[in-house]
Amino acid sequence: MMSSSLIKPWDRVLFVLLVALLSFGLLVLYSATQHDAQVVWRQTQRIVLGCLLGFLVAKQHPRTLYVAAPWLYGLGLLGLLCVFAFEPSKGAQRWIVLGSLRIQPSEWMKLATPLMLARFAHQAGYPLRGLHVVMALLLLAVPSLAIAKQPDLGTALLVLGSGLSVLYFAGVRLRWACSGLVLLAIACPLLWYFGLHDYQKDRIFTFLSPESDPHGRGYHIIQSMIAIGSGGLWGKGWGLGTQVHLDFLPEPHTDFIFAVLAEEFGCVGALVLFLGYGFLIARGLHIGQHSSSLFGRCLAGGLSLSLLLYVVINVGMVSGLVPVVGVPLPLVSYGGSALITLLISMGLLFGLKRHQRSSWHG
Amino acid sequence: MDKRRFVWAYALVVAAMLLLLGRLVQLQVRDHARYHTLSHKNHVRLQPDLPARGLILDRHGVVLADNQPAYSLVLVRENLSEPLETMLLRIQQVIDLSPKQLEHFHQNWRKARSFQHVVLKEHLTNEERDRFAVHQFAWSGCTLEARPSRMYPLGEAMAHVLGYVGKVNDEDALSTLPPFPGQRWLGRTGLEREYEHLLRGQPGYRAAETDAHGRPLRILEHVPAQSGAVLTLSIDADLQRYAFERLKGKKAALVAIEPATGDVLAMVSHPSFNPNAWVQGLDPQTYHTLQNDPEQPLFNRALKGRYPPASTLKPWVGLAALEEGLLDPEATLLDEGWFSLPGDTKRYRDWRPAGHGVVNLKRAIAESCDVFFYHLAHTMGIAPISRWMHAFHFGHTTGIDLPGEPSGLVPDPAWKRRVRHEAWYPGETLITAIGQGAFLSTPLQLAHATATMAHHGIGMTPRLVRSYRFNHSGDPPHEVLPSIQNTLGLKDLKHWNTILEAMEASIVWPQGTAHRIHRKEGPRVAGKTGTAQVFGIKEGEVYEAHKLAKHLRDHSLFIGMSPLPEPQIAVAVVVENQRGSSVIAGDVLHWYQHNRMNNPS
Repeated sequence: MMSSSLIKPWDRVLFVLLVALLSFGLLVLYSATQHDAQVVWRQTQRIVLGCLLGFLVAKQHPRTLYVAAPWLYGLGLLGLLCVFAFEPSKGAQRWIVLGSLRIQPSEWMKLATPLMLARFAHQAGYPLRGLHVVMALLLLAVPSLAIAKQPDLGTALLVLGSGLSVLYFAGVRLRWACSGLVLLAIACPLLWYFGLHDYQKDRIFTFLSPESDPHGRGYHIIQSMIAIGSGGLWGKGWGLGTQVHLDFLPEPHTDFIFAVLAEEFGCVGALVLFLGYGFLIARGLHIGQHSSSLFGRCLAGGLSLSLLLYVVINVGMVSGLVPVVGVPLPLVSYGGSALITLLISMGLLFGLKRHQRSSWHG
Repeated sequence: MDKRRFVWAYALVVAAMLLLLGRLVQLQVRDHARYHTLSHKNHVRLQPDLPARGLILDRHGVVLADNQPAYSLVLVRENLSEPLETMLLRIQQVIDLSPKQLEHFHQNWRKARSFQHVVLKEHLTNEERDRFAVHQFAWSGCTLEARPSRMYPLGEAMAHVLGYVGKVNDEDALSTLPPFPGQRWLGRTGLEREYEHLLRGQPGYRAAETDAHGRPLRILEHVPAQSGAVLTLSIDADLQRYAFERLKGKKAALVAIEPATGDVLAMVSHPSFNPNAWVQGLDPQTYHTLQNDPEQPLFNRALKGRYPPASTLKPWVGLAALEEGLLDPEATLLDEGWFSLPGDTKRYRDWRPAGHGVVNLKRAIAESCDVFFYHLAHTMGIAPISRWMHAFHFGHTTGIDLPGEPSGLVPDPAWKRRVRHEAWYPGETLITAIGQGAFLSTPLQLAHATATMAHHGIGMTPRLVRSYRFNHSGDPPHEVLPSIQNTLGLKDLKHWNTILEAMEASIVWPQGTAHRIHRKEGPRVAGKTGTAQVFGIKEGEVYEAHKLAKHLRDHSLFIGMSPLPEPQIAVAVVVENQRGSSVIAGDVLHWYQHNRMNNPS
């Protein structure tokens, strides 16, 4: 039972939006799994776990996090190195296996990296310039590349994205961004020949022309677009999506769950979802905007924009705008680790909001 | 500065959402119709539309192979109003169900969807159908289903020529003409097999919109099947039936050919079997009985039975001698009943112990004098004999459009060395000249050679199918043109008539071996009898049929043609282990003269 002094600083708007999105997600999940209550129950359990962890994190004073950041970051890096010592599973080396426990360091880094960068930014002072920028980029590049090597391109992009978002709020000059883009453009062909795995190249081909291999690589995208398109304006109704229920849509409860939503709830349903996410992200930005420390601003802003990145990549992928990368739809897709990580990051936001008024110095 | 970044961030959020929304509008509003259709296309199932098998008709349009509806008793799970076991019990009170049928049914029932028809019993009799009609209202979930089933109106009479269809099995997929999807029946023997590619037609399909369980909801597209070609045969159904009746009770074969075209007017083998039983499904018991029957009803004697031609060969040997210049038509010989090779005491006997006296070629053929031909054989030698027999197309296949035709056998020294690793004895030349020994020919080959003789040396390929027609295309029928199998030119064309007149004499002359079939009025008939030894009789002994076991008795052969001088029908008859081939042939020729020759057919 929480006392009133504790309850008040809890951001009600954030809470309501979170609950709404999570509930909507469970509804869609129920349909996507062909009315499998077991799955929905398991997801609920994970939500509860995530909320619990988020709660614990939210209770912390930002200073605790500030101090812990480098340690968390270092631990994560260590973890990223250790994965390579274990056997590849499904062609990827993403886990540390301790007995029956499997830990994914890349998930850890999704939180540890923005924390680290936010701390660095706070320490270096606003705006971030010169050598500090280089150092910051290094701090970001190392885990990103390590994750990409696993290979887990999706998570690497997310970590990269969240890091860059933090740096954006740290005041990095935008011309850096432009030159960064130019560098990327030059790097693309190099990346293509030396960096990308075959299956990743395949994904880009499929993205450009899914019809060329409708039963192989293009299948997911084509079925997904059919599902979305056939939903129309108002959707076919909850539980009435033919694509899902006839097993045409693969992975309907994980990465492609948005297609289920779009087929059953239509354009209008998707709009509702977007409004939900939009307001959630905006609220996060708002928390950041009114945070008392640079650390808080960078962290909240960075986490919010990275949530935006999640949504854009997943929905873009499912609707054929973006090549397929394994990124789940936040708060809705079935899947433990991403959901928990996200709820912890929500916890961070809650925490920052609670301690908005208290000032402290690093 | 600080704040601006946040403002831009808000803007970015809005922009991103608009971008995604825009994409969704593109898919869900602008392209909605297209995706709606595609999502439909996902659950469209193709059902094969099965073609009707082509009919087979005789030369006058009489149906020889037909498709008739066969009724099956069928159950549908979702329409059952009572438990399955109760339903089955009630059905069994009225219609018999064998344990095998039930077992089969239960197997399929387990695998079937709730809306699918599962067959309980096939080939319901008319009575069973009537019983069903009476009880139908009380048996919900149970219906009749009609499927085309092959039917042969002439039954046994055409069984060997038409063959039969059997159910498609897994091994057929490996053959050169694999069955099309959904094909249930496949020609197994005879014409059904030889013309499978024409008879089976082309499958079509129906594109049905189905729900998640595969249940068809409505038909979206329909490409109709194309039924198989209708074959018109050269067979004359009435002649075939008559000939079949005449052969009843014997192990025998008859082939009748039209010399000018090679049309096979009749092709009969006895004993025969009922092909309709095969279509309905033979139980293993009956099948084994048929297979192991010593009378061999499944064996097409007309096509595959190989017999020594015996004395029927004499006209050809005579013709060969004439052409070789070794014989003068008027030259005579004294036949005292036996012949010996120089320096040998062994006597080769004539069938008539006392001999025929003074004979020339005509008399030798008409009275079937063996000794005359022994002399001829000895004079000619095996080499020209063998060469001429090959020229008359003995020892070969005729090329008829039926599967499995064996070739005949003309023995000669080369053959004997190759197959039996022995040298040729001079006595074998004598025996070969009268068509005994290792000489073998099928009734079809005999008829073909006879028809060639009737046609003065131009042998037409025997054909069963004259034309075929695809009904759906509106095209005119495809004619199968008569083709020449072999031709034989003679140095002196008069020799044909010499031989043919001699053959006529065997019927017209009182002492001719075929005189019993002579009729005072009517068109001219020519022919030759033959008796093939099955059991060798020692020198000095007399052949007494009644003393030998049935299967050891001589075969009776006859070749004939009518009318001279330009025969329209040539016939060959073989009767195993008993006499009577000439009478049968005579009756058949007479029937043809009476029923066909006066009316242009």
